Amino acid sequence: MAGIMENIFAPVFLPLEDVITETPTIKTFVTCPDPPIHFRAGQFMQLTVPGVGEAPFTPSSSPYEPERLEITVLKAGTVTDALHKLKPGDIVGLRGPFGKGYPLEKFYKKEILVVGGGVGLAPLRALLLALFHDIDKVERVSIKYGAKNPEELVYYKFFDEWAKYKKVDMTITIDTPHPGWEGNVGLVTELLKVLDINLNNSYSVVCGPEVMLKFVTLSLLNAKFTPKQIYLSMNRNMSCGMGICGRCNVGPYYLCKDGPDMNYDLIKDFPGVLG
Amino acid sequence: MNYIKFTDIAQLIARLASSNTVYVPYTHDNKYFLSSWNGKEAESESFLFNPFRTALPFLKALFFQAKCVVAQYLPVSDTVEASEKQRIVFGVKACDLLGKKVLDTIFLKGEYVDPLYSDNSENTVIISGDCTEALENCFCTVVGLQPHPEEEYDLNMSPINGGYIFESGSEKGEKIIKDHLDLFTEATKEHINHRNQQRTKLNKIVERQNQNYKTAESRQRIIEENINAPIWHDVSKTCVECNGCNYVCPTCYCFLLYDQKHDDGNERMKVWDSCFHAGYARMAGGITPRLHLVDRFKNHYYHKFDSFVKNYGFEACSGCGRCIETCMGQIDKREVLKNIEKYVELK
Repeated sequence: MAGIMENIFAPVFLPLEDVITETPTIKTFVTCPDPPIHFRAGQFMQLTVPGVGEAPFTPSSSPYEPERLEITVLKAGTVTDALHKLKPGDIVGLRGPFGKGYPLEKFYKKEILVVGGGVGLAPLRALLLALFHDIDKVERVSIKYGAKNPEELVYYKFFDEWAKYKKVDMTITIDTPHPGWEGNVGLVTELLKVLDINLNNSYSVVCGPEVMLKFVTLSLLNAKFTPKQIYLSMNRNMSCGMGICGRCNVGPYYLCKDGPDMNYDLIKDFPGVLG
Repeated sequence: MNYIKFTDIAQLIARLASSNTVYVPYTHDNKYFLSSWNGKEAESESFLFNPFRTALPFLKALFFQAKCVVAQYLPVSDTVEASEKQRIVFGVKACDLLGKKVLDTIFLKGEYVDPLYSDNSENTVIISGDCTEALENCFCTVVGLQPHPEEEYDLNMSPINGGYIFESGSEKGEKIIKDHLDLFTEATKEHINHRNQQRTKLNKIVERQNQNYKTAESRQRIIEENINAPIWHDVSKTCVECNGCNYVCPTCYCFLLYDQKHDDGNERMKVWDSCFHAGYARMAGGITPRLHLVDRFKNHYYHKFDSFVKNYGFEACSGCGRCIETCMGQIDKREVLKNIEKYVELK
């Protein structure tokens, strides 16, 4: 797999077709690559803002619709600040796809517990859309999602649509009470305290900020998930994407090449895995 | 194997320099460096053979520059430049060649090829040399190397009485000998015996100066078994994060990519990076996976002696001792490993 680039460091450039404001801090950037960029759910792209730099993002759109590539981004640093200022028609660069992505085949015939925090639902959306595409093949998809406040619930508009699938259930929560919010309040770990999942036949997939990964992992272990049943989306500051520049290693693994979605059992004994 | 007289080597270099850029050793302050051969002085100047490694990892810097442009875009340009003239590099030692082996593994032999590294590598002829003296920090024999090159060179030269033995290790090297056969004679058995005696002698010297640093366990095992041990706090306490050990290391290859505006376009830069730096691997929002110095220190050793072995089958340390020489905290890799091993015994 050589990606879409001739020179491994040079991105391919294309215009933004659309910029969708998801929340006050999160936008989705839509491109229509021609030829389409085929990717597996969980694989990531390096997105370049010309003259500013590049940063790694996992597409949030369906891998079955590669002609419309959506990337959902939280405004959090130099590249993402510049990205949030772009408008439809502005040019961005792409390198990739990189990494292995989620082991979809392993999830078939299983109950999948998908746990997301904040913008962490973005990479998970690609996974969810891939699972929905073959919904007959999985036993169940149970989504637990938390955000800071109701405004920051990303993809809120899709939740009803997702929950319509027979095998899908979704529970959401916000961190702190908010006027007009009548749903769950508390961190996403609260939703894991009472689980009705068949532990013997399930996997959990977690994506969110580092601190959330830590406490969700502890909650899952507490709920008697084994480390092998836990997949963590370790979307750190991958740079080269090829397992060579050195900044994303966890033990002998490079998150960019061997991940970014890692089985917790593989990495649990190495220093610095969970903040 | 071929033999060339001391008096003919300058002529060989002058000929090579007519169509190549030739780098040769020079000395300053009892250290060796490389610089391009000055053709004008070729006749008067004799070739200086460096008896031990250069102060800096010159070969690495030639293939994998400290800072270079890896892409230009908007407008897109093909000018990811490699030097046009073929480069011939003298003064390279076995430790530098192990560095090259590590870099080749990363930049040439993986799933992706780094185009600039590949061009630089193809465009360079390496003429290495046996070490004939050891520096006090040299420890190549500890990491399984010899103080003379055994692989990865195009030509290797061994100084003996009156001249040099040249041994070729590649077609590129073979071609240089063939093209200048009038300057060479066939090396005699006597020459080769002389070379081998010298090699054995120096090997013993390096082994002797490192006899206290032999570990009973493999370095990989020492680190693997103690990765979470508190001893790392002790061995790292004089580190001041100057990053010097990374920059003088012939095997360190971590790099940073960043973009900048250039004239009317943009360019992507690749620069050497250092895993000791607090900002290394920092994410948006300010989170750093290895927040404490001790974690970064440990990662440096873990990478060289454990994970690199797991991934590629050999250690990413050449025993050149440059990290020891440069460390203002007087940290000695050999002692660090020995101390960690001792810690095992005390446990």
